Amino acid sequence: MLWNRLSKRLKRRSLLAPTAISIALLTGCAGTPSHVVNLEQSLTDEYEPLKEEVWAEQQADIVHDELVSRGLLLNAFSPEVSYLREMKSHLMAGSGYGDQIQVYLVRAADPNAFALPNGNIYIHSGLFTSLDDPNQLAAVLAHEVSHVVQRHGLKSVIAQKNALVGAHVADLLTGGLGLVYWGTVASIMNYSREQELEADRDAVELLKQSGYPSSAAISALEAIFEHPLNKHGEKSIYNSHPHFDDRVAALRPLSAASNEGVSGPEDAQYRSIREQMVELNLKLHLRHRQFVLAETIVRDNLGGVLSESQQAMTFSAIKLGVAKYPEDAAKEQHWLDTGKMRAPKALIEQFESATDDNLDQAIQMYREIIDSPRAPVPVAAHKKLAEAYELRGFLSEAAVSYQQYLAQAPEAKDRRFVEYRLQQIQTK
Amino acid sequence: MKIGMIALAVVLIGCITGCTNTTAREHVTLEDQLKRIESVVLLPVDVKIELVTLTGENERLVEREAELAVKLTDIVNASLTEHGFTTVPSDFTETVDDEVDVAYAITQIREGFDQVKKDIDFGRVLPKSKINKMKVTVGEAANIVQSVSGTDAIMMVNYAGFDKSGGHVAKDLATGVLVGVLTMGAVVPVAPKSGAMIEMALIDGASGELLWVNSGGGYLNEKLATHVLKKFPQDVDE
Repeated sequence: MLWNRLSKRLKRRSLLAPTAISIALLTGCAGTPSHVVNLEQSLTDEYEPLKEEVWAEQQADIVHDELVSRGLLLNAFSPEVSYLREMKSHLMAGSGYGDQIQVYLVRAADPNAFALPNGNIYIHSGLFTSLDDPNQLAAVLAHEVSHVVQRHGLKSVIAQKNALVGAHVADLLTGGLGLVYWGTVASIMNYSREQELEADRDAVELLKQSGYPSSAAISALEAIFEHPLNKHGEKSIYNSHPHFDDRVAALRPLSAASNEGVSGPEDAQYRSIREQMVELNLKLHLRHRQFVLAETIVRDNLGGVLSESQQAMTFSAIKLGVAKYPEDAAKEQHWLDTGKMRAPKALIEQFESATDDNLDQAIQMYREIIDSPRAPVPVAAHKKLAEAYELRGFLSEAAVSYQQYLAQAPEAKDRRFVEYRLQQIQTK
Repeated sequence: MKIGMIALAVVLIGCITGCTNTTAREHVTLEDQLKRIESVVLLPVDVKIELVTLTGENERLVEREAELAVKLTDIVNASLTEHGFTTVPSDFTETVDDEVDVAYAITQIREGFDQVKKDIDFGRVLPKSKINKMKVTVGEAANIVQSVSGTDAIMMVNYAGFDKSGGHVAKDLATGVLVGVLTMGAVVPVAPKSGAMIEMALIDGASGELLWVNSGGGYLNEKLATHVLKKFPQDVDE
């Protein structure tokens, strides 16, 4: 009888009142983001950490351990990571608590960075592809430093917890249909957008204090949003951030003042590091069958970061990759064009029908690299040529190329792989 | 009578094909490949167990993961030995800390495996006649691991599970009751409290080719591994 009365009431009245009351009751009982103090205040002897804080830091430590165990973090003693840590120290020189924040470099080709509640900041190698100079890198790092200092991660955990509890109750009241979750998700994202705008504002201040041009905050955003992954706005994985136009509009008045004309540090070291990271990012893109993204990097050539030989090798690898994995190539093309994951059959067939042409082009390109009078010839060109020959059915040519590779790279880590391929050809 | 015989025949055929259908896959020349394979190293078992909570504070159950990883390692190594392979202890824990390349190579093997799953219809139940056509590779990263371990093949195990908190179970129960009442008992959803999925792959250390794979789902414990390993191939002497 109780449930019958409830269901009739639900039909007659708006759901907003009971939902709102339930959420208010539940969230009122829990901690709120406004209870969270900033990093500096949390370091005093009198401070008692919230239980959500302890939990969030534990979870962040688990994430870090996971990144380490998967080999996704570059060595802490590498020049690239040392460079980032020096930059962080410079940004936080006036704070007195810079050692509470650690910076790591992640093997990931998308232009991203994130901060965790345990004070760790992770910069993706993909950022180096997008960012033209060290000032822009400093702007991104300053933005992430603000997330840690303002403890946005912890505030989000608390906000999400409260919102989800409310959503669960509302979901029950609406018959378990999940209808209330959409509004809740939107409210969490709005909260996150406020934090992003705050981090942008803080970043400008940090840049000014540290002698970096504050205009780098805007130019960094422009550089990142030019990336093909950010093409689809609402469909993009970067949708939790405020819209690009809103962020730039908020930043313009802040960065226009005072320190124009400051150029920032010398960029020779940045250029060298960028070269290494771009090479890494290209390998990652090719391994993940992201051929259009790889080609975008090579075509832009980022102020001459890549040598002629690197460009040629990458173009050839893209041709070979598209020939080997036409379905993945079609899916990537379709996703970048439309934001949709499922490529139409016609597009897949179009890529599949071009396989032989792509292989022939790859063979020609690798032959040109090997026959080029400009030394040195990348040893890998022999192996890749062999692969292209093998896929095309030119087995004797493939065998010759594999043998040339083994002769020139006797200590190669993939020696057994190549020996196996050679054996397979020779037994056919 | 005729209809009865037909029905019986359908049931019997169903039983027979049900017994020979499987989620396992085998290399197209498995027997020849196994002649070359004597030793196998087990990669660090990848175990992820998440506690799903009402408050959204989902968390990894790291202690339970570690316990289960030990049990799964013992079960898999024992099975490899029973099936005629020599198992080589992996010092990947130390290697993973000191030589990032190996840790990253293992990650690349896992990523390569994820990439080829669709090519082998991984996870789908197929008749036995269709499962021995596998010829895909996880890539050259297998060579890096093989060069460290010195083995002929690599065994990979991935395990993912969830467990619901008391609050979440209570919420599921309340939702089930409510939906049941509103539908006058026509629908009474019963959500599972916990569950797990496991994936296994035997990989040739030289070519990176998948020699055997299988997967399964069930209760959140180590017995899932035993069940999936029932389809593991016996080693073949040259």
